[in-house]
Amino acid sequence: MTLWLYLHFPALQLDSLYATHEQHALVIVDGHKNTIVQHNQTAHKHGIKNGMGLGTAASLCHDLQVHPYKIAIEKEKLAETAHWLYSVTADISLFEPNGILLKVSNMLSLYKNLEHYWQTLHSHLSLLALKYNFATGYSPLAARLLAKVGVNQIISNQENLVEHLHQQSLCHTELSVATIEKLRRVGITTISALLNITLTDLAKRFDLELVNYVGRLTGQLKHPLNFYRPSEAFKHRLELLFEIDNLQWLAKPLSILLTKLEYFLKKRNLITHEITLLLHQRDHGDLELTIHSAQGEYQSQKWLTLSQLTVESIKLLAPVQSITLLVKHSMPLNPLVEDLFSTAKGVYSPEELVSVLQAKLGKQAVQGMHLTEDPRPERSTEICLPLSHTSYCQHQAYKLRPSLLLPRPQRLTEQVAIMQGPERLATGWWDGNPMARDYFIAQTPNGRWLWIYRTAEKQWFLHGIFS
Amino acid sequence: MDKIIERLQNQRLLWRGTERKMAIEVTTSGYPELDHKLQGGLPQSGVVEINTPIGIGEIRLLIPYIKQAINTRLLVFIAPPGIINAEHFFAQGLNVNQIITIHPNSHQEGLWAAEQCLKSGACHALLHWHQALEVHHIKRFQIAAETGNCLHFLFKEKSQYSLSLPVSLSMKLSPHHAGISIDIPKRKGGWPISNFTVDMSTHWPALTRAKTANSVVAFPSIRTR
Repeated sequence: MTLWLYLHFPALQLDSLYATHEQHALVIVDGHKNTIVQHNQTAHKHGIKNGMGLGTAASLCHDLQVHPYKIAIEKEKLAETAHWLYSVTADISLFEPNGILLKVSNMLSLYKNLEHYWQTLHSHLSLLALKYNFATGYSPLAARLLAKVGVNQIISNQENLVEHLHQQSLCHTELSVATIEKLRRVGITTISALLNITLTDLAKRFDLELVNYVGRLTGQLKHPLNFYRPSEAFKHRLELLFEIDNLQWLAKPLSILLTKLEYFLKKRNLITHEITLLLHQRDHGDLELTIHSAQGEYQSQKWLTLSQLTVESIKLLAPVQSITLLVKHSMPLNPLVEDLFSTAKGVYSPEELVSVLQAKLGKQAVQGMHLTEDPRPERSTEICLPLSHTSYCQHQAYKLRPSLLLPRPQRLTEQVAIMQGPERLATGWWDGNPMARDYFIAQTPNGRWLWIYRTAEKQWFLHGIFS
Repeated sequence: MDKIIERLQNQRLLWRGTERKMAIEVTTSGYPELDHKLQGGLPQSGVVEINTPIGIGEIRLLIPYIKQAINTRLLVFIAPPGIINAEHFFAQGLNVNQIITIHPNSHQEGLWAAEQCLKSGACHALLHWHQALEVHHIKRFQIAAETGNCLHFLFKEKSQYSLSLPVSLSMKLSPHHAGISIDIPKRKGGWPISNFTVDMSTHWPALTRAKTANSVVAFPSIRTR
């Protein structure tokens, strides 16, 4: 039989809040039932328990912090947790909103024994700082039941497991209240009493739901499961405990997200060139920031520097309530080959420098260039992203050209003496921008060297400067 | 008497003739006259201030120097007074892919970008057009340039009021028929040098004039058929 391990997270939403210290009593309240569903250690000290009304809790502790229960947050956090576990265990099934089922049997061929497997899993999971209960079982539902009760034992002995299971009361099962009530009326209140009746007998008296449940609990019926497959993209959301309106304070929570990103990329030997930051603002739309790194980076420290430069130049419309970090594309890491003996003293590679400049000044302010084969002077230089071209065309003839061109030719207004020319350029007929110009090199009386041209209409223009 | 000398010395108001300056590492500028006057060439790192009108050959003066390392490190232009023409730099044998142009939105951003480039170690030379720099800017640039082993050329158009800045080398350029006439009012580890001419006719034969003044070609009159 297959051994399963179930992890039950009783306070997932509470644990996912960005809480730096446990000074404040924190509770998560289910808005429909108006009852407390999760509370932290400080709240517990004040005597607050799950299932209490909000009024009672507020009277026990005057500075209580209340957050509404949102199932979406738990689901998201659960998926993140599954993703985290994926690096140590293979078959993971999600039981939304707060449970994870792991197939242990297959993993035992990788780990020495159950003990070793659990140690690895436990130490890996403890990094997330989540509260959880766990239990093993020979069917998914049995493991789930024991975990929810809080058995917190990792055993593979079947007799012990069955014994544990039989002790449990029916109210911890996933059966509907009506079914439990029906069973209670015929005197069945524990699992052991329920399992004494054969499935065929149960089918005669009760509905299919109960038969299915019992069959799956004992492992007689197959339990269909969807196993978790990790996505290729990285997406994490961090709920902030306080609203942030000063962007300087964003660095700390951001570094938490970036550390997770570093772990994600490092494990896969990947780098990314672009991260997207979504700042969820109160009563406003999300503010989307894209941060680039020309070299491609995985280290959180470098991304943090780049993000801070980008964040400096933005303006918030409203305080930020939460942050999402997205990475859409990543690529394999190819380490930069560096010469051991070169004497470079600086701290950045050219690509890193470009990223830093782009982050602060904006992408359009930092330009590279490359040479095209267009004979028209305006088009022979093409602006491109820095360092994006590596080709080096060799087959151009030497032409005496000015080092600076005017953004657009201007009427020649000063007196000049022509030193060289003409050089006729009559070209560009193929794309509807033909030109016919005679270019001259000229010098002004005060010694400046200019590049001027005469059009077919005998008009003179200044086009460049031989700086 | 000794006390006064000691005090002046502590306040760094006294200069001793016997004090030996550390030799500044220099690289050839590619122009023999300039190398001779500067005892070897341009410094390898630091800030070089160039007071010049635009268009007399101020970039051309630096091309042979820039050429020496452009294929391994970057050449950066900050706020140039026009579009950098790739054809020109390609014709000089530079790898245009290694050229980066920065158009900052403000002077402040330009200063920041210059400092980043200088200290990065990824740049060989930085050509920066800026009119109003102050002493503390130059001091920061000097430190950054030494960290990154980069030479920072600061271009300014001639201004009446010239403040003495703590630069490694300050040059005043003026046009000359054979090339450029240079005046060096200030340099580290040496005396000021008054006007001398750099002959550009070997590098730029088409952009110099022969000495005879009447070789100027008259403006061609429009021929009528």
